[in-house]
Amino acid sequence: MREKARAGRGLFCARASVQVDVVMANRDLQCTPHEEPMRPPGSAPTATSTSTLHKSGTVDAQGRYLGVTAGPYVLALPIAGVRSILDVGGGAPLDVRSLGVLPVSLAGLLGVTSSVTSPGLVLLDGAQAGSSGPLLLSCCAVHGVFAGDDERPLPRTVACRWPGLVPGTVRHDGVLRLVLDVRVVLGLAEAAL
Amino acid sequence: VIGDVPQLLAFSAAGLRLGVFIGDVARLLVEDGVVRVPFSHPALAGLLDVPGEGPVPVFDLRGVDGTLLLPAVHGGMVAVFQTVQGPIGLRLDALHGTLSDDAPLPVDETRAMLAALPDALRPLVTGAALCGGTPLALFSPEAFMAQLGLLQRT
Repeated sequence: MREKARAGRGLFCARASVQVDVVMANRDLQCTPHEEPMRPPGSAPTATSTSTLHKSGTVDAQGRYLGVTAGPYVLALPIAGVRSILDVGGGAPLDVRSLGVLPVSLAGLLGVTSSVTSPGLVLLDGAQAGSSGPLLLSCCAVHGVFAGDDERPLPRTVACRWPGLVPGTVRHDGVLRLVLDVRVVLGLAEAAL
Repeated sequence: VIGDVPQLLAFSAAGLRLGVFIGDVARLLVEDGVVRVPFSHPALAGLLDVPGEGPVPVFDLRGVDGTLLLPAVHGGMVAVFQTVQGPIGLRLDALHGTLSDDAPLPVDETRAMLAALPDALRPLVTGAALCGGTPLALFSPEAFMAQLGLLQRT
């Protein structure tokens, strides 16, 4: 009961806004001047602090993204759909036994293979997306949280087999990224199970 | 031909020598890396970030039949066409320049040219012309979009 109550409280917080915290990010991050480091090396895990920090310690999720890559795809996940960043990847090979749950490969969901032995791990908020539950997603790399610049809808001349999977693009630090709809990603994961 | 105004842009793509009406060409760009799109049409190489324009889809004729894996191209030439659906880019093998002395290709030679085209690429060609003594198949961006099934998305 206590566990359920704790989980329920977490879901409520996630719906109200997004709390981005780093649980296992004990690796150095390479951040551009415009990127907000997820955690300074050597400091204790804390919530990401920005100019839009709320009293509750959470941040406004509007126009903010988590940059990730999956295989050849350069992507951005709206931070509103991300509950936690568990690992930024690039360190020691991942031992999935320590996670308690098998992560779902984002590259695999997108139809490509990934040979990364130390992927980044992101917990997607399934409850907010109307899905059955959160999803532990593995990405080839996690690049950090950034404020979106020049957000645009996907050109009409781009047809995608999964409508809505890529609603648009966003540019950050001169790099064009595809924005993924977390709800569709969760749908892909559920369809794959 | 109107005076000395060039009427066709001659180029090669997917091994074919093609021409397109110069009025359909918005820009010529150098491809410095495209952003690939998951689950998209095999002919879509990716999105090219065009300054002042935003992301423009770049297509490769080699992928129209869906059988070829598109290699990454850096430094290649891309022609951007304006269509009713918005701008689209096309990867070029080579750019041959503009031509203004085109003339209709005889019917039998046009038929022979169309017959020699791969099945998947034949619907993209709307005619043929003789430019500077060299036959060209006339490429239509709108026919290309129709072939990819993208004109229905309004």
